[in-house]
Amino acid sequence: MTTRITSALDRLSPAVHARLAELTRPVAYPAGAVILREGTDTPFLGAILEGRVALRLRVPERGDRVTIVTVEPGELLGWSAVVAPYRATVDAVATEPTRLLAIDAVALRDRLAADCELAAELLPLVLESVSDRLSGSWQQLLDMFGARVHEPW
Amino acid sequence: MVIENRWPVMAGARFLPVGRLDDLIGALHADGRRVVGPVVEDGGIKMAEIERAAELPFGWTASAAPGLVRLSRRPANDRAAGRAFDNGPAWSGIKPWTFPSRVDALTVETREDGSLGVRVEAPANQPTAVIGARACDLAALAVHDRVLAGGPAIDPDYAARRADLLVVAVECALATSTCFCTSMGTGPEVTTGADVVLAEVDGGFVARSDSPAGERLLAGLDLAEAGPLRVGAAIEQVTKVRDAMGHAVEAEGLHDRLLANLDSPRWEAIAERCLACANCTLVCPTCFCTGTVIESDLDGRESSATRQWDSCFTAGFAQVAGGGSFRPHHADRYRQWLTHKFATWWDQFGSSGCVGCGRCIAWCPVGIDVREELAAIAGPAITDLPAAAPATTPAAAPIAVKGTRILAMAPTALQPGSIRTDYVTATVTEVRPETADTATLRLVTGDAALLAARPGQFVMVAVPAFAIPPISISRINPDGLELTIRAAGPATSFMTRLRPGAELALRGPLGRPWPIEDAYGRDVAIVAGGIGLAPLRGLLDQVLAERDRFSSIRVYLGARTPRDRLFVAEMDALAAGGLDIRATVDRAGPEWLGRVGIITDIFRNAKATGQNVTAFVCGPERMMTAVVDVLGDLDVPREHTWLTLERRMECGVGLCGHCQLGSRFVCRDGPVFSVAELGDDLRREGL
Ligand code: SF4
Ligand code: FES
Repeated sequence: MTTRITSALDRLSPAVHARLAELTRPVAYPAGAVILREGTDTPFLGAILEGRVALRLRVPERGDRVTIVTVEPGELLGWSAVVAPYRATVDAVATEPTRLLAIDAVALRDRLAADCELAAELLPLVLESVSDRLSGSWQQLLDMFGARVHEPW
Repeated sequence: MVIENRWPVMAGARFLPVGRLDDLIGALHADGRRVVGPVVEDGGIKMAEIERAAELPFGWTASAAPGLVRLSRRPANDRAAGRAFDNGPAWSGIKPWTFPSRVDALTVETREDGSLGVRVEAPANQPTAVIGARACDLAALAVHDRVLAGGPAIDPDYAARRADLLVVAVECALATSTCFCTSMGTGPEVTTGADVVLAEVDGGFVARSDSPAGERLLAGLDLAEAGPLRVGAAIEQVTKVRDAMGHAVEAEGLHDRLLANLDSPRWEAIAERCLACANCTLVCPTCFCTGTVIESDLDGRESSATRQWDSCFTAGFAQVAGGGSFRPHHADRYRQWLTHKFATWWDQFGSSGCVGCGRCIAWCPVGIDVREELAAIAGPAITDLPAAAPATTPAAAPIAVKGTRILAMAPTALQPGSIRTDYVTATVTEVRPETADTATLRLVTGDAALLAARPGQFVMVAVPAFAIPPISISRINPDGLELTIRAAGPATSFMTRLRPGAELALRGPLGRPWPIEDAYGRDVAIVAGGIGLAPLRGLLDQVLAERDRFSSIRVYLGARTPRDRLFVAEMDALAAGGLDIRATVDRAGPEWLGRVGIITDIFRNAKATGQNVTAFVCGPERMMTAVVDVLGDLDVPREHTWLTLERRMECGVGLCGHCQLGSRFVCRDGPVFSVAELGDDLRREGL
């Protein structure tokens, strides 16, 4: 039931996949590496192949960071690479040795403007990742496990 | 339906002159019975204990309309002025005598030596005879017989009262405008349930016996034959009542027509008028919902639990302790009440829950008339439906209701009397804190039934001075059970702070267990959110013990934060031993290197290959519905997706009505259900 798709980009058509390959390079990070920093430019849109990336926010009063969600193999990292103002909204930290395919942000934006077919295939994947994060955050807001659970008294 | 008149025209009907009513009462007293009959009190007629016939409402007549009941004296020259029962049904019915509003149920005390004493209260009953019960009262009694004494759990107090009851029924010579027993097929003729039946005619009563006890009673009075004229008058009288009543409710297909209209706008319209005052449920002769009220002495060493009438109209009825109610709106509660009486009652008990007595109409302060609402909501009878086989119960044939078709689940398959209602003690030998607010109690007990508990079942747990919560069993050991309890209210907080050596009183094991056999030969997916892991832990034990019977085993765990995870060492050890366990938390600090995100994220990007999976899911309802969606997307069959529901539970055995969900009692028919079994009810709000 849980056989995974190895990369989010595998869902693209071979032609689009091939055109994207020109802009893409594999990157590896050791555990603990900071991949994106909140408020700075997003250098690439990443497709995680292996490992785990924690998206973290600073808690203002406490100075430490809270992990909001982790990005896992098969998922995209860094949707802010294609959404203005292109700045990362969270810190992204590898919690395990992580490999990903990185699509250069600037080149990708140019390509999206020029290649409608590529845009039509890739952007829905990006939107899906944004929507997953959004609905996940909403569910977290509900704090289901914090509210009453199994036993009623 | 054709009601057969049961009056023996030729011979056998006797005549009881009105002057000899006291002999009848005297004979009942001599039999050691208290005698209950209608009396005028506070402007109404209620059933009360009587000593003499003179206390009966001679000369009174009654009229009723929606929201209105009026008693008046008949003028002295009225031919019926000398009659005692010509005044419609007593508002109280006979329910207060068979199912009183308050009875002692259980006493729990801490003894001097620190041990726990539990005493299930014996019913304090006195043999009773009722005079003046109507056809609708007897139909209601038959309904209660099934609900309270004919199902898998038997209410000991009701059973005792019922066994000692003798009924002298009276056939109605007057129906108030709120009566609709002809529509429900229950009256006005008395056809069942009486020992003696009286028909009030000029100068006295035509009497017949319908049981050996009734025959003994009548024989002892040595009465003369009534003769064909009087019998004829009795029959004519009741036939007139029948004809005058008409046919206000179309019972044909009502079950299906009502359930097809759960989204009718009319529910909201009724809610605008309904005060949720619960009057209708209090005067209803079949309403049986009760709550358990705990009263404690000052030092909390001894407390008694009483069973008291409750009503599905109250705000707290479907509430769970941490806040939410499953039926927050008046419309939800009215819908629950009406659909239960006229539809889901059939599914649960094989009969209608309404007997057509009309009390709910007369005693509704704003005059809501069920007859009108049913017509508006359910519409006219659909006549081209294929005829379905009527439901049958092991207990008895359905109470006759005009051609109602049933297209629903059969009443429970559990054997009558198969659910225990007593409490036994168990001793705490270990208290293991799991999280800041959750602890696991290890209990030992010698009780064979408890030791035979199965994963997914639960127990009701009583300690002095606290409410009695349902707690799921988190492990079954050779010498006892483990209960994992989250401190969510006073009772559970107290329990999580118990010390080894403490004793608890347990009722159980209760409920339907996880159907582990359903997963034999298949891939097992165990999905737990928060404390939902507790009822799944015993299942996991069993699955691992029978490992070879499954193709694969995977465990998916969600928790609020890393600190809120349960059984951490145990799960880590299993994972280290090679079990596929995937965990996620809703949020975490930087020290947590595992997955963060909602539990459904674990399944994200999985390929749809779930046909061979049997899933067992437990967690908050919101989480379970999300998981069910994801599993559905992955092709996990609905009939192989099992979950355990949370509802308010007061009795745990199918007697109190609190945990109802559509046609089910979650405590008895669940708490484990498949998604296929639940159908639309899983997501319908306010059910
Ligand atoms: S509903 Fe029928 S049986 Fe009951 S009081 Fe009215 S007429 Fe009599
Ligand atoms: S009927 Fe009482 S808890 Fe289910």
